[in-house]
Amino acid sequence: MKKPEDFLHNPENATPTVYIQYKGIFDMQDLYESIADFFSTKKFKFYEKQQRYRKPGPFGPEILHQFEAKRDLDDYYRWNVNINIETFDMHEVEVVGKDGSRKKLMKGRAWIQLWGVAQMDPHEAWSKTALMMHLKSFFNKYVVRKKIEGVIWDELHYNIVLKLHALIKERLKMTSEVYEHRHFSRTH
Amino acid sequence: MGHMKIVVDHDKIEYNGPFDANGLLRMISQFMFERGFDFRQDKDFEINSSVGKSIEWQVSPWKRITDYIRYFFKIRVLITDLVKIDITVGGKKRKVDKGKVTITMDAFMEYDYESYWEDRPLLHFIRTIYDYFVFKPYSEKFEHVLVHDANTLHDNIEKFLNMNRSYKVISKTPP
Repeated sequence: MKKPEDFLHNPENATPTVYIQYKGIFDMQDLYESIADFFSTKKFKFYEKQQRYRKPGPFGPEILHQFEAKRDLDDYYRWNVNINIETFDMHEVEVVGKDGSRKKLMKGRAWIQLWGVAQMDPHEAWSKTALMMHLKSFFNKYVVRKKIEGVIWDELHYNIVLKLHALIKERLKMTSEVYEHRHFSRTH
Repeated sequence: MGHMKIVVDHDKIEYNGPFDANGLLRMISQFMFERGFDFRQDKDFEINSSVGKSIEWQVSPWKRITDYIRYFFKIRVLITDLVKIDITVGGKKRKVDKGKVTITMDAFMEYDYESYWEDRPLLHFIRTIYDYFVFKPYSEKFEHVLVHDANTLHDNIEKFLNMNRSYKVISKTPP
C-alpha cells in the first residue's frame, strides 16, 4: 500500500540552515530577549522547547537552548522557525563600558543554528481521505507551487530567517554583521 | 542532485594590510544581491583571541537561469589576526581593521537541479546526450556570463582592498 509520503508533493519547504559560531564576550540575556522580541514583533508564537544544562569539566557548563516559533499565515500555510543555541565554557566577567559603567556579561563560546520550514496544511484538513490527499498533492505541485517557492518560502528565508540571523550577529557585535535586507522597508 | 560543473575553480585573493572587514563582506553580499542571486549563508564564525579576531565567512549564493540550469557560487573569506588600528585620512583620525585576508571563490553550473532526468538510466543517458550535443551552445553562453560575474567580483574585491594602487613596469617600454 502506498504511504502518503510516496505521492504527496511539497508537504513542506525548508530553508537552508544558518550557522553562527562565536567566541568572546556577549550578553546572553540581551540575546535571548532580542530573539523573543523579534518573534513577538513578527506575530509568531514562541516556545522554549528544551534547556539542557551539563557540567562536563572545570571550564564551565554546556547549556543547550532549543526554541521554536510558529506562525499560521492562513489555514493552509504555516511558518516554523527552529533555533538551537549551545554555549560552552561560559563564565561571568565584569566589563567596563565606554561611559565607565560596570556590567556583568558572559564569556565563552556559542554555537547557533537556525532554520525555517514552510509547512503546508498544518492542521491536516486535507488529509482525511485518500482523494483529499491526492488533491492536496496536485494543489501543491501545480496550483500553488510558484506561490510556495516565490512568496511563502522566500518571505520566510529573507524576512524571517536571515533577518533573525542578522539580528543575532548585531547583538553579538560580530564584525561580519551584514545583511542587505536587514533594514529594507517592506509593504508586508 | 543534478550534474555540477566547476566553471571557476578556487580563484584566490590574498591580502595583508589595513581594510574595512565589515565593508568587504557587505560589498560581496551587495554584489550578489544586485546580480539577482538568492542568498545562502554557510558559515559565520568569529573567534576573539588575544592576538586579534579570526573570522570565517562562507556564502553560497545561487541563481536559477532556466528550469534546467542554475548558477552557484561558493565564496569563502578567511580573516586572521584582525585588529583595529588608527590611521589618518585627510588630517582626521579614523579606526580601520588590519589583518590577513584570504578569499577563495568557486563558481559552478548545476544542470538539472531538480533531478527530473535522474530517475532512470535511459533518462540519464538522454540528458547527457542533450547536454553535450543539443544544449551546448546555450550552456557555453551561460558559462561566459558566470565567468564574467566571477571576474567582476574578483575585480571589485581587488579594487576594494586597493590592491592595484601601485604598478611596476616589468617589460621594456616600446620605442
